[in-house]
Amino acid sequence: MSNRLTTKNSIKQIKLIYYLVIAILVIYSCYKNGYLLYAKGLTNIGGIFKPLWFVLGAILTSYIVLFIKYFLVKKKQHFLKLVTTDWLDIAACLITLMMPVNMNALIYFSVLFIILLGMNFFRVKEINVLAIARFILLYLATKYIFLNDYEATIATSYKTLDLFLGRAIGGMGTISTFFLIICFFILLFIPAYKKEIPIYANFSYALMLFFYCIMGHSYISLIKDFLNSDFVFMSILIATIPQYSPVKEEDKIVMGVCLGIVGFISNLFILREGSYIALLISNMILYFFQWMRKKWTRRENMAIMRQEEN
Amino acid sequence: MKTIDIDTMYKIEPVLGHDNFLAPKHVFIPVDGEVLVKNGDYIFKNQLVVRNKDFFCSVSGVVLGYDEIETTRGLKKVIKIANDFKENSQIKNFVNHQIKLSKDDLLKLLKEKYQITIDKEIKTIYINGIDEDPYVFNSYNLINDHLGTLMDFADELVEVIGCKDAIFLFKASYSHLIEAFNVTVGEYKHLSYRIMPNYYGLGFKKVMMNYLNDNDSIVLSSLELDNLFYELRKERKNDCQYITIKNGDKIRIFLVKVGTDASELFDLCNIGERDNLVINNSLIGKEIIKHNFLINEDVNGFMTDKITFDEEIECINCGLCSEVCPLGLNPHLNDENCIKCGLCNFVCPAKINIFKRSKKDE
Repeated sequence: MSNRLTTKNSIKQIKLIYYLVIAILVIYSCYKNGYLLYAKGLTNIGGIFKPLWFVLGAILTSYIVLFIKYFLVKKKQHFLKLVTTDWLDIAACLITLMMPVNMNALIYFSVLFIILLGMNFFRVKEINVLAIARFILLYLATKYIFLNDYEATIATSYKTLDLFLGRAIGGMGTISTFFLIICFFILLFIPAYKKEIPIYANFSYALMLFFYCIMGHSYISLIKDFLNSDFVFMSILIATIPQYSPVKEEDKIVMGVCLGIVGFISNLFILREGSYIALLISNMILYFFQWMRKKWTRRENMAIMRQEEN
Repeated sequence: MKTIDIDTMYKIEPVLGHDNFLAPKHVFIPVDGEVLVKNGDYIFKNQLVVRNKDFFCSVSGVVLGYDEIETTRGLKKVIKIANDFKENSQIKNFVNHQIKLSKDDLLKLLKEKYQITIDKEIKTIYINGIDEDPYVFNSYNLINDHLGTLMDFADELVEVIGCKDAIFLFKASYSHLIEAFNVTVGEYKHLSYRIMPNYYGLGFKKVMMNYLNDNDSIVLSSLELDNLFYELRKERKNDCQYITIKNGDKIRIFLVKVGTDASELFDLCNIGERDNLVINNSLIGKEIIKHNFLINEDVNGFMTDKITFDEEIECINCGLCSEVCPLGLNPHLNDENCIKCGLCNFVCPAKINIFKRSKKDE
């Protein structure tokens, strides 16, 4: 505790805004993965809220992990304080939103529990653990993922607008570019939100797309790929998560530009997975950039010192 | 760089008008060099007491001996002098002549005593009238009380140094000062003023220099200008200084003798021994252990706020601290260039006291 002047913004407030964003994506997901099926008689009322159950389950899993941490580490902090200020529940929600709604819940939550436990005790800043978590979950749960009846009927017939609004196949929160843009504007209310990453990432992606089209490729299919690639979700929510994103202004720009370029290239080969691979590659490029800068600054300082000595 | 306007955020209005507290019971002088007096000696006002650091006595009285008192640099051994309230001085008439120094000597003085780096020909002298802390109004009151003298002196400085002009820098909220300045500015050839935005940090010299981005200029704080005025025109050290004391919502400014024990002022402000007092910077929140605290040039204010009592939590790596740093540093790296403005502390959503943490690391 300290007796000093501080701003009113707190982690609780930041988390509240994140929860608002998650709520918007979950509501839309309930519409797309629940209501549309319900309207066609393909599911019951409980089925409408399937994405919500998944997100609530993820939050509960994160609380269990936090309780284990609280129990083992025996922090002086009150458990309630730990729950309201720790970032694990947001991470769990975001991981869940990356996943498709039709998967085996038991397997999903078991793996998520192990991942969250690992995330809590082994903190790495350099690599975005959320992207790795998605790979692990998707790999382990591949056999248990399937398209829902609505997705199966339109799997080959959606238009660009469908992709923009989010009526296509995809993760719970990743499919609607329209709602993700709204979420981005809401996230801008967080003073600590690293907006440079999605701005530079999407701008450089668009530039790459433009140059690729100039070379004679069909832009419609490329835009479709972009909307279908989880890139917007990844750049707005996953790449900007405070714990695993850069702090310095220039690092954020480097990260954004790398994401855009590598994201575009990797999406040409592996759609949807490409965005997350790009995130991990960008993390590595950034790490290399930071290492180079450190070395360069040290060399520059040495030169100044030598000059002063002379 | 993200700028923060604390004045607007907390609706801080500048406080004008001060109380004089020029008759302390005792005055304390740190033993940081060769002591020139002994127990029982009678000391005149402005008499040199400690040679190496040029510590003069701000009152006349008798040396009572050695004591210990809390200072900004920890507990220090001091010489205790009992005030006889006569203000006896060996300097009969205080001189108030024009600057005798040549340009080169003056620049040398600025370089040595005020750590002002002068590489090129100076074009403009900026006089910073903005205080470092949002709740401290020492500069504001100093300029208001001695506006004519300071303007006169600044105009003369311009002529001696041979630069183009001197520009006073004020906050927009210092309307009273701006009005007063406007009334007399016509009499001076080289003076003007500039209204600065309310960004926190502009009270710090380095930040102001960065903000102005004028390589052909120097920035002097109004307190430095006042000290320079005493040194060059009155040929003695300034024996008084302004101190702001904030007790809850009440802000009082005092003009005190250098070397006064702050506890005498705390009694006047109804601050008890149990109140937690923060010194100099309300954003850093450095608490003083004892209320017996030496007032010298390193001290500009005390605050008893209980604005935030938030518990520190783990850093979430949001980067806000780096984003707001007026010098573009990473506050977690304990950089030697840090000016300790406390903005990183202020914005941290995890309520981490970065300065406390780096002290622990050391």
